[in-house]
Amino acid sequence: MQPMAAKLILWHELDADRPVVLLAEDEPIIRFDIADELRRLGCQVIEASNADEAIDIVKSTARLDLVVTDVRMPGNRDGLDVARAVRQERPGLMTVVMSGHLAPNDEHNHLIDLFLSKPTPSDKLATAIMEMIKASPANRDG
Amino acid sequence: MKQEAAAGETILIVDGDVITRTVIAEYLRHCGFRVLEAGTGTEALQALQHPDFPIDIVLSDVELPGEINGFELSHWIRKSMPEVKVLLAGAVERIADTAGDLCEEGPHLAKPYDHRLILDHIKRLRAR
Repeated sequence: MQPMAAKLILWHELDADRPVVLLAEDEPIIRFDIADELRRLGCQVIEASNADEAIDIVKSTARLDLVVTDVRMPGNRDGLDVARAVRQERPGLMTVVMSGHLAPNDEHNHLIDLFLSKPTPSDKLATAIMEMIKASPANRDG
Repeated sequence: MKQEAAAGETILIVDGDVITRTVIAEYLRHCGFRVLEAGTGTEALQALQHPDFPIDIVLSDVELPGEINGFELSHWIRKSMPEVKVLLAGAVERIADTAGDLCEEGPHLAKPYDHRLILDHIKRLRAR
């Protein structure tokens, strides 16, 4: 685990002033689109291509300001598992869930701070994310 | 640092380790490049074939999760998109062995990455 910690310190040093958003989305083109838009608005974006990667980041990254996750992704875990990991590991951190399949119900309420149905244009999604970040300075962790 | 990178050039980083990928990608963005990230060879192929994301340079790990490894990705690029420059990275012995078997040419980088070496290699690729 030591090499990972060293890498994370480096990542943390690169840009201490911009919000850090974890974006978990398995469709690379959708991910690029959203990440580009968020970067254009001033965010640092950590791109995870599946839930396992996202959960690793949730557990280990020094700073996160918001998590955005798709629900259906390849592998044994999905976006709701990412949201569960956020609640467990970093309870103050807000989670945006986006899906074209999930109909959120009462069971999901405690996991999801904002639900966006897919497809949502990347500029609208990024604007909604920025508003959440601005409204929640306490999200900054570590 | 930003002045050293040509405006508008896009690099695709392909690495199965999200943290390695993120750190290198953010470093190259800091140097002024536009950077796309792929976690698998399959994702890389999707990116390469998408018209909205023209890619100039691919920096790929040799060993990737999934069905397509870095060498296979590199072969595909050389055959189908010869204008795209490829930089492969991996453990030195593994690269030497497999590159020899496949008669693969081109620059190779050792992992773990040395950031300055990456930038140096990219500059040389751009100068070709």
